[in-house]
This record gives sequence, C-alpha cells and structure tokens, in this order.
Amino acid sequence: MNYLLIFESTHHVMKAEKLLLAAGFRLDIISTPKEISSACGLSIRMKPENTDLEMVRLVLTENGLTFNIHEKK
Amino acid sequence: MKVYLDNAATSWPKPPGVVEAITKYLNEYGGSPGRSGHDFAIQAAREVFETREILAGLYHVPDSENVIISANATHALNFAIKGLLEKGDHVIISHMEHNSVLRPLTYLHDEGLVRFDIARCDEKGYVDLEHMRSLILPETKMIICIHGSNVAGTIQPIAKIGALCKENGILFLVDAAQTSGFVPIDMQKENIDILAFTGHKKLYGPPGIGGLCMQKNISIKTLIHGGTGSKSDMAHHPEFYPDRLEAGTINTVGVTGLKAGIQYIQHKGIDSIRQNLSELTAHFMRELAKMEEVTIYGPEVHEERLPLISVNVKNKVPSDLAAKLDKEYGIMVRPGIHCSPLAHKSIGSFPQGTLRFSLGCFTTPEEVEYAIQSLKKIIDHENR
Repeated sequence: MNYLLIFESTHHVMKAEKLLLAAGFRLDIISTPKEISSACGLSIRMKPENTDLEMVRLVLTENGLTFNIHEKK
Repeated sequence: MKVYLDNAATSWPKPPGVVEAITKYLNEYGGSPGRSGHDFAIQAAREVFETREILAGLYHVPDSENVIISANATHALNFAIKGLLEKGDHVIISHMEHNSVLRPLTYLHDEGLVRFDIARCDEKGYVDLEHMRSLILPETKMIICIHGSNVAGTIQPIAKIGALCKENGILFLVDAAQTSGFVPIDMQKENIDILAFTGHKKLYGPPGIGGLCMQKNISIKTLIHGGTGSKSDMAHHPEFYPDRLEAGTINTVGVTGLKAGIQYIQHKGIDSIRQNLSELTAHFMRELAKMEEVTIYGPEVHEERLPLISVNVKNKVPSDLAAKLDKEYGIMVRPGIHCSPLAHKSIGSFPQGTLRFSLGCFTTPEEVEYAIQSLKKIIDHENR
C-alpha cells in the first residue's frame, strides 16, 4: 500500500515535491492512476513506513497547498 | 569586425550557460512538462517550476503560480489587456508606449469596447504625472506604462504611478520588456498589479520566451483554451493559474534558456552589470555629444537611463546611417521608429525616427570606441 497525494495542478505537485524533499521526506512522482482520477495529472507517491502523514499535512497546508490523500494498494 | 549594438531588440551574444541549458534539455531530457509522469516529463516540469520560482523572486511576485509563461512581452500584454478589460472600461497609457500596448488598445477601442487616454510625456520621455492624474475617470480600470523606453532609454518613476493607481483603485500594468534584468523591480513596493516581461533582452534568454506576473487577486480571462495536462477529463478550461493562461505546450527550450540567463545575471550581480553598462553608456553619450551634428534624445548623461542611445545626425536619414554602419563598418544598430510612434512623437523624432545604439552586458569599451570612431568617419567623410 502507498499514499497518493493528489493536487489541483502540476505546479502544486512540483511545489509539494520541493517542500517535502526539503522537509526530509522520500517520495516519487507518478501519473495519477485512473481509478483515483481521470484528469491525467501527476501525483506524489509516498511509502507509509517512512511517512508521517500528519507532518506531510502540516508542511503542505502551512504553504497554502490543498490536496487529497488516497491509499492505493 | 562585427559589432552588435542592437541589444534592445534582442541581446546577443547569450551567456554560455544559456546555450548549455538549451542543449542539455534537447539532448538529455526533452520531455513535455506536466504532460506525463515519466522521468523526462518530470525533469522538464521541475525546470519550469524552478524558473517560475526564480522569476517570482526576481520581481517579488507573491506566489510562483502567478508567473505565466508566454512567447514574449507582446503576448503577455495582450493577455492582460484583452483578458481584463470589459466593455465601457477606460484606460490611461503614457505617451512612450510601444505598439504592443497601443495596438491592442486601439483594436479594443475600434471594436467599441474601451476608451483610452494618453498621458503627456516631456521631450526626455518622462511621463507627466499630474496630467496622468487629471485623466482619471470613474470608469478608469487600468493604467499601463512602459517601465523603460526602448526609444529614449527613459526609466519611468513606476513607484509613483503605482501609488497613484493604488490611491484610486486602478489596476497597474507595467511593460518591463526593456528593464527586466537591468532595473530592480519590486511588484509589492511599487504597487504593480501585473507585469509583462520578455526573456530575450536583458534576461539573456533565447527569443520566444516571456511572461506575465501578477498579484493574487487578478482574474484574467483566457484568450486561448486547450490542453493543459490538468483536469483533462473536463471540457472546460481550468480556472487556476498558471494553467489558465498556458493552454498548449509551452516553450520549454526557452524556459531552460531563460532560467540559465537569469542565473547568469544574478551570479554576475544585476547592480554590477547595471553600473558597468551605465558607465559605458555615459562614455558613449559624452563622445557623441562632442559631435556637433549629433542630437541625442532622452535623459541627460547624469540621469538614470537604459543602456541605449537614440540619436539623429544633421541632414542624415537614420536608415541610411544604419545601412552604412552595417555594410561598411560591421556595426549592427536599429534605425526607424522601433515599433513606438508614440514615443518618437514625445521626443520630437517622428516620423523620421532615430538611430539607436543599444548595449548589452557583453559589449566592450573597444566596441563602443569603434562605433564612435565609425560614426565620426561617416559624418566627416560626408561633410567633406
């Protein structure tokens, strides 16, 4: 299982990537899977074992980003 | 000898890093930003993101998503003018504006949509702020001003115009095509709502790249709808920036070059580039002033100006002089009215225009000396 972070725009994905990497998180960027959204955008994928979701939420919301978190098998 | 003194049209040469960045993108990771999740597309998207962040820092834009990539300053100005003005609006511009502002407004005027007035400028090109203030009407929505004149080199007091706009609740649109990278710009301190820039002049990027920067609350209607890589399942074009104004594949080649160009000037120091170029320009002006046949336009030698000098030579046509300089001396300059009939009317050089020498950060004192001596030879030869 992975966490998938879905944003409104590519710009926000890039901004989130920069912020999360700066905060020491590990992540990668993938095309958003169809079952989550058919919008063709990008998402951030994070592994639960090294991700503190509360910290992720804090970093992103402090910087004005809105997003949804999904769990994907 | 080839001497390029047409940097106000487009700067040349470009810093080596610009060529390297463009080559690297094309050779190593030429993906389409925001269009796929694969490695090259993500690398390209990161470049675009970083470029927006750098531009936001350069102009003090509150959020880098409000930095829009366009083809040039003209497109950016058209986006702002046609995307913000509505039927019945009134606009004030300065008498130094480029056709990139005059023509879209004339078009909207002819369509019966907007009215505009032109604030007087003095013969050096400085806008008359009191006249500008007197033109404000209840329906005035926007003031548009060119920051630095491509004709006379005049740098307008944009902070004062910004204050006037703020005081009257009017949007302030600045055309920074000539000043970007040369004069520091702070959109917050100077109360600039929207700023149009180009990448290929004093930011030393390639031609075909520019953009629009705006404050948070600016809602520009898009003229171009299409693919953005986002919300692709919807028939409606997305409302959020930057996608809202960036339908279609953007010029990623240009973006990578622009980023390297800005990094180059930031590394050298914008202030230090400006100081060197201003000294070189002042020397050029002082030497030209010694030639009694030469009339120099724009601010005096001790005043702030762009590194460009517009002149006329007694009884000579600028285009003839430019042709002679090019064909006989290898000196490339631009004659004529520089797409700015209004500006030439302000400084008294319409319709013949001027001969414009414009310097860039790679212009050397030797090149300036050669241009001075060459012009002197042409004048002396023809007077014999």
